[in-house]
Amino acid sequence: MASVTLRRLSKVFDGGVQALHHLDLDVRDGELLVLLGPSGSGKTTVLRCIAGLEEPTTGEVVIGERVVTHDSPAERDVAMVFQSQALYPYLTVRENIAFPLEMRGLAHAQATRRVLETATRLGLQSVLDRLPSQLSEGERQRAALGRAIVRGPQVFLLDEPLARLDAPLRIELRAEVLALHRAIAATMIYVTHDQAEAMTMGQRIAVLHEGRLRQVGTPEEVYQRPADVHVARFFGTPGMNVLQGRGRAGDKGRVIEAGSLVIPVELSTYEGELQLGIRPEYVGLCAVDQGVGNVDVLVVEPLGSETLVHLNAGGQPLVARLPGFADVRVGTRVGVKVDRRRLYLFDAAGAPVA
Amino acid sequence: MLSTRKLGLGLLSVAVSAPFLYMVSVSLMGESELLRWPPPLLPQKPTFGNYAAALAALPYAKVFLNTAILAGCVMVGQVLTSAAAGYAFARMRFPGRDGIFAAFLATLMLPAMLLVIPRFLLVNAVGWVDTYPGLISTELVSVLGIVLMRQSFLMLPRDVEEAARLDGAGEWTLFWRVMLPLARPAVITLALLAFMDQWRNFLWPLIVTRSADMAVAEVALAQFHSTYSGNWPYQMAAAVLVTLPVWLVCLIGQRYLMQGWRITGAAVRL
Ligand SMILES: Nc1ncnc2c1ncn2[C@@H]1O[C@H](COP(=O)(O)OP(=O)(O)OP(=O)(O)O)[C@@H](O)[C@H]1O
Ligand SMILES: [Mg+2]
Repeated sequence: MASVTLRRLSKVFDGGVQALHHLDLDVRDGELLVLLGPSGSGKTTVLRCIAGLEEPTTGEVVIGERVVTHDSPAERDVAMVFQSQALYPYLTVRENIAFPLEMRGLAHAQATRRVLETATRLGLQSVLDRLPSQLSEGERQRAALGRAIVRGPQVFLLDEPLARLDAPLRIELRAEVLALHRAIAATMIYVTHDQAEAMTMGQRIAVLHEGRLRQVGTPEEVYQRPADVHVARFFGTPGMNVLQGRGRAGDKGRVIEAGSLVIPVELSTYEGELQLGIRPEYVGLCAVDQGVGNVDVLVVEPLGSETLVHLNAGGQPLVARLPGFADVRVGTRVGVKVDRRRLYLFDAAGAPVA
Repeated sequence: MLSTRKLGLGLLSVAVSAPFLYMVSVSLMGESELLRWPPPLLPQKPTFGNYAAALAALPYAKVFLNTAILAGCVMVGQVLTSAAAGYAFARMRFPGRDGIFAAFLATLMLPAMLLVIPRFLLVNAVGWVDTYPGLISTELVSVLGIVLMRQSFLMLPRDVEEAARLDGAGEWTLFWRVMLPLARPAVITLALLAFMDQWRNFLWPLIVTRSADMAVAEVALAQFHSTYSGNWPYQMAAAVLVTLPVWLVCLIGQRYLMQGWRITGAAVRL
């Protein structure tokens, strides 16, 4: 096993698209790091640079103690599960899993044993002699995992391996990947665009946005202390409310005006444009004129354990998440309470304001 | 609109198949039947006598063997050279790659006749006239085959290839074990096209072979034709026999042949 280090990694594609901007990332030996970001943020490009399928424009890739930036994929001892699975369509599951062993010249008897072990671990024994086209989506994904783990490489890269599966299967396989990680104690980089998946899987989460690494931290850190407004918006279902506002001196100390809300804050100096973040669970409703401002109720979504209420705060959208079934009517006007200790302030560019 | 199109296609298919059907029909007639006016469309009393006679008159076994050796060797050879070159042009990086490919394409514009004399002189110089190597060697590389294979390699998704690289496959394994099987439909298409092409090859065998022992199907048929020029049913029976393998290949391989034409069409348009 080995650590993976990216130093000032940048990638500019031939067409001039800059997919990655000066990435610095340290993945520890044996860690499961989740790389999270919306579609097009550069997640696949990061994996491809680590695997050696893409040459970085500048910067370095280090695996273990070795700088491998210009080594071929085969020299890096990295396995990757592709977004598209990329099984060999004309080989059976058994032959697919055996292929990497054969390429490394493993003796036949030993290879057969390893293939069987791997297949057993992934529950593939009964489909070993089928072609990929004769498998279910879940089995195909397991086969792709099998081909990656069978030769016990130093680093595993998984590119949205579960994105194509339906929800129950995704949860099942997610647990299997976690178990697999524990069992083989491998260094894994797991790519997903699903923040909930990232929260449940990662020891640490690296958040990528528009080719820049915004934050690396534990699930709790990225949720509680987002490094910028993009990270803040990204986590949670629904994500954090972000209102555009201004800070100014009011009658009773400093306030932030955002839409129809006027919220007192303990900001000593800040004046001018601000972005105000509030998670939906810390937005409460009350009678008109009793809170920090009045809002119109647009949509009410009762989900059983909670109710999501979509509000219009003077032209800016705001979502409140209330426990159980809330007694709120669409079209009415209500007051808003916010938990002031749970406010996040960002400047106009999205950086946090202390 | 649709019905005019259908009508057009219908007429076209009649125009294309009518000569073949008539060839079969005539081959089943008696010798004198065709002398009547107007010539009959169908035999009065179908007879297989012409076939028996044609089989006896032609050195059939030898001719078929020669043609099969030519078509078979060229088929295998063209598949190998086209696949290797097509793969290199599609997936490898080397200086001058696209220029060389353009030069290959340009040779498609040269009339085949132009090359016959230099080819003959070359073959003559190495003493291969009237031998199998002389017959086969110059046909082993096909520019159209290279174009076809290059195009089909270009159309394959990258991810399986990349998975194989990560799995540790070298360039040769990648070509032989991963890419070639993926391109199997194109390989089959190319093999069929090469086979049919060679079965009907006339000009080159006519020039490079001399002895009756070396005659291939089309050449033998031409000789047969000059020997029995008056007897049409007889000639048609020989023609049916000689073209039979091509018909069979065409029938069995329809799907692949259509696909091949589509791929090369796309490639040439690029
Ligand atoms: N070969 C390429 N040539 C040019 N641009 C590319 C290439 N590959 C990716 N890009 C661009 O780089 C950016 C990052 O792409 P990448 O595939 O890494 O995103 P991603 O985060 O994996 O997205 P997704 O979740 O949709 O898979 C995108 O804007 C994409 O259009
Ligand atoms: Mg991707």
